[in-house]
Amino acid sequence: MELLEIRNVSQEFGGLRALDSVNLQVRQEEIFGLIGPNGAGKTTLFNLITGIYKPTEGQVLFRGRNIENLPPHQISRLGIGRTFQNIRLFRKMSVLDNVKVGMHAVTRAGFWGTLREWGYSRKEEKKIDERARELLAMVGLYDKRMEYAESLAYGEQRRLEVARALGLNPVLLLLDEPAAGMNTREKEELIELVAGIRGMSITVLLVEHDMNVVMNVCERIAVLDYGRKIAEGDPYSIRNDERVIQSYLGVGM
Amino acid sequence: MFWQQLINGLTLGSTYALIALGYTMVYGIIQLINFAHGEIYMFGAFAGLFLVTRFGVNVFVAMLGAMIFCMLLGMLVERIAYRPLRGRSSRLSALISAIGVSIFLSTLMVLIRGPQTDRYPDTIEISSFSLGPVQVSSLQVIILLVAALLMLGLQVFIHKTKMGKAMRACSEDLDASSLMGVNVNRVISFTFALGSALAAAGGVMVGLYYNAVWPYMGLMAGLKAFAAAVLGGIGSIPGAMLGGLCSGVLEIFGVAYLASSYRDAIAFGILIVVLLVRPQGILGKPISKKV
Repeated sequence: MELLEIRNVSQEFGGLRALDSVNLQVRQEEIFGLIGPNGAGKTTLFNLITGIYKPTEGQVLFRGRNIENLPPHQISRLGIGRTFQNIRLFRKMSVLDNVKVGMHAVTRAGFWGTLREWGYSRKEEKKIDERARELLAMVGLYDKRMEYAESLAYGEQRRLEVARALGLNPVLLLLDEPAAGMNTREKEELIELVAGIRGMSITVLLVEHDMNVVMNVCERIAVLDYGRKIAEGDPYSIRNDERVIQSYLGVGM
Repeated sequence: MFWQQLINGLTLGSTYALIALGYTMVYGIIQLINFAHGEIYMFGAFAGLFLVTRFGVNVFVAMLGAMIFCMLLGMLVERIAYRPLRGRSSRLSALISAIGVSIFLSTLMVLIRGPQTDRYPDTIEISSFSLGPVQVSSLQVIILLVAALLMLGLQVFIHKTKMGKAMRACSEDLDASSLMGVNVNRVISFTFALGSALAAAGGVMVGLYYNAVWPYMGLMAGLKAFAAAVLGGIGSIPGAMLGGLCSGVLEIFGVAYLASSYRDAIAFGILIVVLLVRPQGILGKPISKKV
């Protein structure tokens, strides 16, 4: 069954058509890769799915429900977590608090909830704290939980973004160039991490330029070029697709 | 003389700090200078006065009532005058809207009760005692204590509660916060409520201290508190507290040692000098532009 369906989506900025009638189906519990040259519309698509942009045309369905007009915080509460191409952590907050922000939101800290907080939700707070520690252990940052996010090394910051997104308890996780700027060892750890996430029955949609990472972890791949989808299929067929080689992979791949 | 003026300055400064916090918190989250904040403070002073004269309540109860009233007023202003503009037009439109609200609120108060100055009835016994060479009035002690308690409470709130955490997250990155499930509009609304409540407390205390409340009192107090927030580093909460205290002390010293008629000139002159030396304010972080 499709978890996420992009139906005929177009996005225009002024005269620029960043996405042009894109169709995409992401199935439950698969790892889906999105590749293409810079400016092809990959991040735009992420922004559309998470509600930062409203599509000019078309629909976005998550578990069969239209989400294209929902505000971002509601979409994320439905179970869509994401990371960012340019790391956007809460730099002045502790590593642990970064993970907790999303978890609090999911457990609904409202106006009145805040006022009642001292009374009843100690138990909930404890649960959140434990879960946040688990997630940090999973991404290998448990020992650094009390440090400021900005003091982490680059690769660690990327992993913290993943942990923070997992704090939302997502069904679908969008990773925007998670391997960017990582060295070979860090990339191997990332591939392991993504495999681990899949083991949690979380569907992953991944934008990535590193073909080694993409071909290793993705079960299906779609290729965008100038806002259009030019190919879709398993890693093997994508690697051998004439148009993809021409516009993106290049010869010798 | 020095210690006496220091106490006077800290008393005045702590009220500046209470108002400055509202400016800095709102700025920290939506980069808006809420020019109507001084008028919220003025409404707080009048709400307190109203409760004391009409219902004869205790000053502290009146302060609490004024805080609650201003919380609602602050949220209402945000909802009507700022939220509809957010994301749809430039930040400048919200700023102009804020100036409009400021004028509207002070004029509204004139319409309601006229432009004349009013005074708080003598509800609390003001005694003064000497602390070495310094004369301290019980009112000064109350003001310093209440301001300290409120600021301490704010710090605990910001660092220990979920809403506080959401506020810190929003002040760093609104979009990323919303993508982590934080209802950004609600956090902004809450920030206005919190800042307005602190301003209201300041308004009631200034009303008691100077024994005068009038519809345009928010203008100068607001400007000075805003200057204090900039002095401390706009967007920084400890900065607003420190900036408020510094402004109050320096202003009083200026009056005492230089000339009282230059009171406001001194207050803003200091601001200019400090900003020339340290543009980001005392506790602000330097802004580096990406090239």
